[in-house]
Amino acid sequence: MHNSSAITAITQKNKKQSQFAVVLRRLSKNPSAIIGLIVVCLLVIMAIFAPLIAPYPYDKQNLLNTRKPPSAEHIMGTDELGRDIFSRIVYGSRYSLSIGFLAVLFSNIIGMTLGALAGYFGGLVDDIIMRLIDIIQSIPGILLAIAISVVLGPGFINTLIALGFGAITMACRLMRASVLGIRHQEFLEAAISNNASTFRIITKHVIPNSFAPVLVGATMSIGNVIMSAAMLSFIGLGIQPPTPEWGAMISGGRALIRSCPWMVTFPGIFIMLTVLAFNMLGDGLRDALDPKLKK
Amino acid sequence: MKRKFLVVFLALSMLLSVLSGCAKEVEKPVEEPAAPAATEAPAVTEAPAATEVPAATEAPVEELALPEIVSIAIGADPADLAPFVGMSMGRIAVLKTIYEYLIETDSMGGAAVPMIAKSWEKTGDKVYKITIFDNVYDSAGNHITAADVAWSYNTAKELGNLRPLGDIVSISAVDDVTVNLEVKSNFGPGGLEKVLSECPIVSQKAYEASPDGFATKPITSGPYLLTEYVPGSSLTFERREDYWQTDPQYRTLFSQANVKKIVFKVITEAAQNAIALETGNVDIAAGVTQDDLARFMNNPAFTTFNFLDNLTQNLQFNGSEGHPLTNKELRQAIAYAIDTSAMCEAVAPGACTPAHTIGNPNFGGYLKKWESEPYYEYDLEKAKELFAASGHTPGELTFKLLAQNDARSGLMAQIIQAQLGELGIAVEISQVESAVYNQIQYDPTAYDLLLAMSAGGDFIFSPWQLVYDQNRYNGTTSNFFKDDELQSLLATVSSLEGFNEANVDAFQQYQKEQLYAYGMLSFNSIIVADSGVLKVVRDTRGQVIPGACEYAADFNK
Amino acid sequence: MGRYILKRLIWMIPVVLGVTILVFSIMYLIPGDPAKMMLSPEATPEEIAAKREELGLNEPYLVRLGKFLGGIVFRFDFGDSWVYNQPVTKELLNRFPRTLTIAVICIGLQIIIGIPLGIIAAVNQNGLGDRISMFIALFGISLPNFWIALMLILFFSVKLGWLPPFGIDGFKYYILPCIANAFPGIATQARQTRSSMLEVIRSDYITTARAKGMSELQILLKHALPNALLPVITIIGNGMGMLLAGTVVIESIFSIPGIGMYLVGGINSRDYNIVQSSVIFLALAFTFIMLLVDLAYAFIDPRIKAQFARKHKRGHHA
Repeated sequence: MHNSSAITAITQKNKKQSQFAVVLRRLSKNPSAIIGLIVVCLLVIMAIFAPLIAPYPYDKQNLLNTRKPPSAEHIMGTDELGRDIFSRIVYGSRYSLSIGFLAVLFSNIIGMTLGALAGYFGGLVDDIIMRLIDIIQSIPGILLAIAISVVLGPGFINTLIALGFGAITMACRLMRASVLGIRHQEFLEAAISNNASTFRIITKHVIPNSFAPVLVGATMSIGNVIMSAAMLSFIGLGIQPPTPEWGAMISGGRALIRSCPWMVTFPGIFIMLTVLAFNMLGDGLRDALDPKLKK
Repeated sequence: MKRKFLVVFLALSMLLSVLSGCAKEVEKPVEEPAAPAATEAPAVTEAPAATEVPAATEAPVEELALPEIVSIAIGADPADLAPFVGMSMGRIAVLKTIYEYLIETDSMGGAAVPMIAKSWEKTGDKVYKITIFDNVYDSAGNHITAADVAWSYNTAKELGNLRPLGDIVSISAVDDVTVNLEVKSNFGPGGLEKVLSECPIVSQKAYEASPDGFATKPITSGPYLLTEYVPGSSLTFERREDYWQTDPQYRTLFSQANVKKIVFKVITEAAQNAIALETGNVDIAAGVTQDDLARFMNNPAFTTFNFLDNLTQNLQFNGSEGHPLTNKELRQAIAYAIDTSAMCEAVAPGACTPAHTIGNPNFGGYLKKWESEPYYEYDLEKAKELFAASGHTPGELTFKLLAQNDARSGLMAQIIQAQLGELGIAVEISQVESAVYNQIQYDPTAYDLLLAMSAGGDFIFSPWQLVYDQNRYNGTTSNFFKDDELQSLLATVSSLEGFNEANVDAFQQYQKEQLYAYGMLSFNSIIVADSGVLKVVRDTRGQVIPGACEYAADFNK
Repeated sequence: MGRYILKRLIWMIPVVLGVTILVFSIMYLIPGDPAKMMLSPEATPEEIAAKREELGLNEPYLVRLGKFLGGIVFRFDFGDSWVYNQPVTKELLNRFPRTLTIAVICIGLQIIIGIPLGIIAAVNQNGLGDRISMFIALFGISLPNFWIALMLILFFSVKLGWLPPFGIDGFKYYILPCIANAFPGIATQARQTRSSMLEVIRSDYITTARAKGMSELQILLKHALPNALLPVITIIGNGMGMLLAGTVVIESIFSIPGIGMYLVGGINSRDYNIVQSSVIFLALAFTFIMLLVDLAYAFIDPRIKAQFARKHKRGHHA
């Protein structure tokens, strides 16, 4: 057993330099991951070059041309204030994408760390972390968001924190479950008996070998976060009008779903595209990073 | 217009005659609260002379002809059905079906009709004598006497949730049918009516026997009995065969009980109102969304009833000392820059009316002539001139606009933002939930511009008082202006002697010139009903009274 | 195992206490005056002040917190709702069965549909079955649930007239809300199952099992599934916890007076007792479910059981 673990360590060291290349190579072989990557890139390009792409300013009202269905002039129609929905979606990508991605990133980094610690150490550490998570999870999201907005005040970063906070718990639980599953597998026992430092064991062995479910959970929650961003603007924390944001566009169009379906449909399609793309990319990454595929 | 004022004048003289000890009078039920002027006049003309005028109610209803059941959508859960607690959206929708009051006000600014009180008169300075019917019984058979009336009022007053009762000094029973009422100061127009129509009358014995103070199972003297209440979901009422008021001439409009069973259904999602009507789950709905309305208007299976809301959406300027908006030209410039007609069309197409004051024709004393007078109609050039005259340059000012977080307020705020942008004033919108809004709207540092809704229940001065009465808000208007002339004009117009056409107009002209607050628009409330509903009757809070509505013979059959 | 359960039950005390203090402090801090919300907009400052006094809002933070905690601990009294004028506990118990019904049915659908979809996808990795299952799953999660709900209502209630569009008068009233509410759960479940299954399928012992000549189905049911269950159970537990808190959107659309609407109504009207008590109630339910989840871990994975049973020793096996 000692021998085999030594060998593992050596191979891992060799792999280290080329790990990134390996991941990329694997990723490129996965067509759906490539499609996902392309869509994500397109969305990001759209966000960066919004002023060049959008045919109208996002806040340009025309009260004489409200609630119009898609036409050559306004390819996605106009909203209640006669604003071009396409332009609003293009500008909205800036906020929605960055909020969705960053909030999920923030929550998952914290959640994964906590989950890994809880699962790896077990015992009192596990108890304390998981009971803290229980407490956080017992408080409804909107109440947490209000509390955070009161304590921190409005602002982009605080919006991220408010949105990401609730998602920490899920990432933490998934990570812990995953770690519990591998806790007693041979390679980990080997690393431990090899006297590797705890930090090294967790970062090099525990997390890479157990974060697949977390990654899947993370890509799935991006859509949720984008949708719930709308809720925050209602409590004065998130983005205030007229700045466009997909979640708010959807919830604003809710009452008009039967008479003006385009107001909900187009932002909905973009959220769906984003979720799909991140998920396809996430699946691809998951497969590419999977250590068990190394053989 | 003239007619409308005549009505108010007559109503007042009538009120005076009542107060000076003559008697009570009864008004004919109003056909259409949206256009009270058309129907009020004939009823009132006969009133001043009369003592004991028979109630001009419909002919006694044939028991057999009554429709079995009507279902009506309400937008919020009433939660607590108890008589003496505060108002909420859900409560006001059902209160008038549950409880009876001393008197009933069928229409805004209209005269009151007897309900439990048979007559009332002024017997001295700030003292009134109220005589109630001697045969008032609740559904449990308890006799409701003057002692119960005094107890109801005293209990409610002590709890402090029903605002007009704050004006009472004391109320006590003299004998079984007589109550003495002493108030703090002599009432202005509508003041006595407010006090007499605000407090539900219940039997002390029944109330004290109730384990939860009538919160879930009230026992009342009303023509309907609550048979089932599922909090958050539905309330079912059944018509009482043993309703105490057997004399048809005294049966008020709201006590008509034109249907055997009423079911209020709580519908919390706006879009569900249309669906509930289409699937036959409800027969009457007030909350149908703007965008569903078009389908009902062209559908012969439904009738739409159009009423004007009691709320005026207005823009209030921060008048605290040293604020740039204490400059009159700047306020006027802002008003000219806002296109209220376009705002109406965008926010609620076909269901919105630009305002000409804070208030609308629903209110007693409103002058129709204001609608043909200029009231800051959109004029960007004029706005720019005034803006320049105010000494500001474009780009220099940034104002924070505080608004509630409902969808319509959001749209209005964004329109104001865009239109003031044309003037060179930057606007930051801050939409907050209503609890926060209520908390900070009296904080002079919370906003520069406030998107507000001002309501009122009777006369045109009541929404004015809500904004301008400097006695209510520590010596300033609700938006921090100090103006003694405004206050004295308001005091005049809201007093019994001063409430006349000339004074109403004088106040309007002054507030229009000063423009501390700019009345922008009123929304219409459109009620959609099954075509078997012939007439929809609403109370002064704009809530449908299902028992008072009229139904076709074949309704729901 | 008994000791473990006992330990976890004891741990519930600090958790619930923590939740109580946290939610109490949040309600204390957030702007909005309950007294003002209860009175009419015309109320004078004196009337509001009197109301605040009556509600006990003028007392200092610690006194109020102490009274609240004292009421719970000594009298098991969560207080009355100001809006409903009723004991909060009574209304919570009225509403809980409705929320529970929806939650249980949703979790049922999530398990019956989500897990098989995930297995199909994992077994046919990158094949047609995988693509179709995952598309369904992604579709489910990227559509706003109010949209799904309204579309279901328009089709099944308005067009076909099969099911009632709202209300709580019987079992069939719960069908549409449950379906609309289950979509995201099914999607999450399917994808998580796929991910965990893939993880396990590639493990050495599955390869060994194959080498031994076991049938694919046997491998799947006997080896792969049990080993992939941990994250899957996590999702179920988590989902159950979230569903018990009520899905406000679904409850609102279908006019179902459940816990979610009660809580949100309480937040909007600043009815402190409703908010505090509901949250404490949910915390109890939630920690209990999480205990079940952890016990399920132990039941499924003997290695974890060992860890629970004995005091944990690092590197013991080496």
